[in-house]
Amino acid sequence: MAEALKVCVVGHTNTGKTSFVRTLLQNTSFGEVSDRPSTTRDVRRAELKLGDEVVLEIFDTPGLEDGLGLYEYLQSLQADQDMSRHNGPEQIRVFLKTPAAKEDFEQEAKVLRQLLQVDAAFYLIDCRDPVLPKYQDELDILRRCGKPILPVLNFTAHADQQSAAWQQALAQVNLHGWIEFDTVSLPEHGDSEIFQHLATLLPNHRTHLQTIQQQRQLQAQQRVVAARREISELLLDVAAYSERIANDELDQLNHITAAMEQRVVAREQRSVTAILQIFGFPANAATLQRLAVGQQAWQAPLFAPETLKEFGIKASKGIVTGGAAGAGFDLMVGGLSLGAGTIIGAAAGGLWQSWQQYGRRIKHAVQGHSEIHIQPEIIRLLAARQQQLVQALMRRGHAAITPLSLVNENAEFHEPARFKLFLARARAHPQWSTLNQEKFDDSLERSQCLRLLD
Amino acid sequence: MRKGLQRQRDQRPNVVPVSPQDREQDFWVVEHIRRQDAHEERFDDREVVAKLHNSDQSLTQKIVARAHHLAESRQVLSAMQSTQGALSSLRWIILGLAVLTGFSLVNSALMFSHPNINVLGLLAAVLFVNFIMLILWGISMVWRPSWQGGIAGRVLALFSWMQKTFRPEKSKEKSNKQRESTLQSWLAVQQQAGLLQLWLSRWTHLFWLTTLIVAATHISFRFAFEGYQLVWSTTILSDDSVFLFLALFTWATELLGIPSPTLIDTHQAGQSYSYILSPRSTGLWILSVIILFGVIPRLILWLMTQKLYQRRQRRMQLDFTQPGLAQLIPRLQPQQSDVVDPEPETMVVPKCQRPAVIGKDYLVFTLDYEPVPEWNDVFLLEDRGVVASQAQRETLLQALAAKPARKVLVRIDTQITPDRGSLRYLAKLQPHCNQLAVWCVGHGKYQTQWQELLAEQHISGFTFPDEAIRWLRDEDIDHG
Repeated sequence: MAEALKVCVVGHTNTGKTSFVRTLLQNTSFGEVSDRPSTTRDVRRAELKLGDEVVLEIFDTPGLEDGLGLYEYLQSLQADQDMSRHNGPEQIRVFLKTPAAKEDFEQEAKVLRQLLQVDAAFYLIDCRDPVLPKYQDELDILRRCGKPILPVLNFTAHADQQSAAWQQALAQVNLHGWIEFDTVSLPEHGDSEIFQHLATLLPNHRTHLQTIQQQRQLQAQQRVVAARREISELLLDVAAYSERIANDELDQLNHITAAMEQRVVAREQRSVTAILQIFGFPANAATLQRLAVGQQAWQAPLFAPETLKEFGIKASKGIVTGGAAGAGFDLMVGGLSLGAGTIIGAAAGGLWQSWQQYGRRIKHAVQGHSEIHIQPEIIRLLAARQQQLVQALMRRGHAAITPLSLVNENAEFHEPARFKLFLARARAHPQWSTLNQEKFDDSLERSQCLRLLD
Repeated sequence: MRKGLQRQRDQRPNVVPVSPQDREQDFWVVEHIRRQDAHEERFDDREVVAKLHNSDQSLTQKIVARAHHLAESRQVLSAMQSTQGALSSLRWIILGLAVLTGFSLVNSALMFSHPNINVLGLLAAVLFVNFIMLILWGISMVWRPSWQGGIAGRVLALFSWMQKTFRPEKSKEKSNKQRESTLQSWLAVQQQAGLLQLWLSRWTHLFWLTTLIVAATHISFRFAFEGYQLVWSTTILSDDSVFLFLALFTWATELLGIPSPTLIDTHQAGQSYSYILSPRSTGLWILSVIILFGVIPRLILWLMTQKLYQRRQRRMQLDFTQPGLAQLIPRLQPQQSDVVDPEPETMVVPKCQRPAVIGKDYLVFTLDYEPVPEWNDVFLLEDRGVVASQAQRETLLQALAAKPARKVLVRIDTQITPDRGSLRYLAKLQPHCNQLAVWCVGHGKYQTQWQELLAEQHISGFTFPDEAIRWLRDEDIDHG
């Protein structure tokens, strides 16, 4: 990839410049964010990486605070020094050498000095503010640096936003390209529009910016895939989770279900933390309501028609599996068994699978034990909440400060048949749940079961 | 293989190009630790992550280095070495089986018709089964079953299950569990990289290559030290047909200048004919057919699969979307940020001066923006309106300089952030009036900030209209 582009983020104080950088970096710890003006007083450089490569250098600058005063000063300087009216960068360079650049306008000087060194700038606008002369003067001063400026209308999700007035004001100074980008509540397409617009301002870097845009989209997709995998793991853990209780110890039921509830709640929180980490948020960025867990039907209806039907399906699957294993064996021994392995394997495989699923239940029934599982409704609820979390995080900017609060919300699976199959398989394999840690077994079959939820 | 894990331990975190085998080993360690991260209590990795966080290594290298560090501290490497040992022993078992098969095939073919060796029977015994298995292998390459890992995955899963199920009770201890999980991790790595099928292909080709080499060697020894009569027996074929059949192979051997079998005699016994072939040339020809049609194709396929396997090993990539790895990315990838222009030691803060003049009238105006244009309909004060531009500010200052005011009340919209420019302007107003106060309008989001900054400047700030009006009308002498 080409050399890293340099862009700086400029704007009036308190317009969300540092928040914007945080959102671009997907890092909640960059810089300091506060409602007090002059929070950022230095110029801070951050690297935007794709993989291991730095593709963008972003400079966060202090807020401009005295556009009117500086504009007047520059006008007087221009008259005194007999400078060309049409050489903006030269005017700025002369200003930077004056004592005022170290005194009254020191913060503004930092911004302008940086702007002269970068390839382009984002001009952050708090579009809840009306268009004021002091903002217009600031914009005029910034434009004198001769660098492409992309206005970013921040806080567009706010009810009092005045985007239209700002767009009109920008057009009056020939800035027809702008983007609406709320650093707290991201647009559906994420930040790709930023790079698209920047590419129109920097045609020489178009390919580079397109690559950044594509890679970031890919990263966003990968985050969603990673989060979904986390959810699948959670659902499998809970669906396969079971506790055994002797039929003559039923008085212990409440005690056992309470313990199960605790473990499921802890497991869900672990998943939430993992998903937050994937999206680059701290662990305290979401709160969850407590999850209620109850016991499922007591005795598994071993001889019920539905179970038998399920048995049939599993057995045929077992035959296919066993047959394949046998064929593999034939290959290995050079076919000397002339297909006998395939036939034996088919029978053995069918029996093996069936025993795995139902033998355990038969054994428990004979021994006078019952199995307690988590209700499917709870699993559905877990899925819904986690999906809701992912959706919320996809739209949440890294400048957001208030924690997300997720409420119980029931939802249907897109493919209920697959979920049903997933549930049946999970229930038949308690060893696939990490909540049954002592017998946990992570096998290829477990991975296959997880894929049912992809 | 055993040395591989040790080598990596010694050399981490040096950035050196690693061989395909080492890459696979690295990914195996990563997968094993990832599974433990995702499924068990997460390791305390803060120390190693902190060490790696700012290093120059790539993300993959950092993940590998972290995994090695954790594997070492959890004594996982010994379990992996043990699994490697088991996989190596599987290799020797396969090779042993191949030697046995090659030897047995030739032995049974030669024993069966001693001393008259049927050329077709010998070739069929050695090459036909190989050919059938080659076709089966071809089918297995094209047919991709939906189950995880395909045929090879099933074979190894079965191997793992058998190992788990049939081992003695006393060996079901932690170290054995760890060995099992390392095998599962190895399987997962192979499956993710699409290596399982090639892994099985490699061993299939090597098995048959060894079988055929052993068979060819065995035949050459037997032909060298024992006397056989090489015949082609037939019941219905004519002489021409027999030689046409032989031509299926002779075209290739003749290309290499190997003489074809020649007929030296014909025997008729009952309904069958036996064509007696020249023993010397036919013996050499049989060996060359086995090499040309058996050994060489298998050797080529073995080399190809070996090469492909290594290529895939080299191209192995970590899947960062996997649970356990996805969370590591933000922790291991440093967000580099540094200060390129530091903040000044002291900020120039506008200072309000004490008034030097005595004015008579009051003056009310709005700075920058008036959120309630009709605000004065009730109070009916002398209002100078909105002062927003530099020209308006200058005009007001000049007017005040010409005719100082006793009290100046500035309405400020607290929805708009305070800034140094506004405070500087308030400071400029101060010398032209006896008292200056700010009416913070609107209970906006910056009200607190405005009040704090005004307090720092010793300027009165009112949030309620009554307060401001009473101050302006001298009804509240405490504010001034």
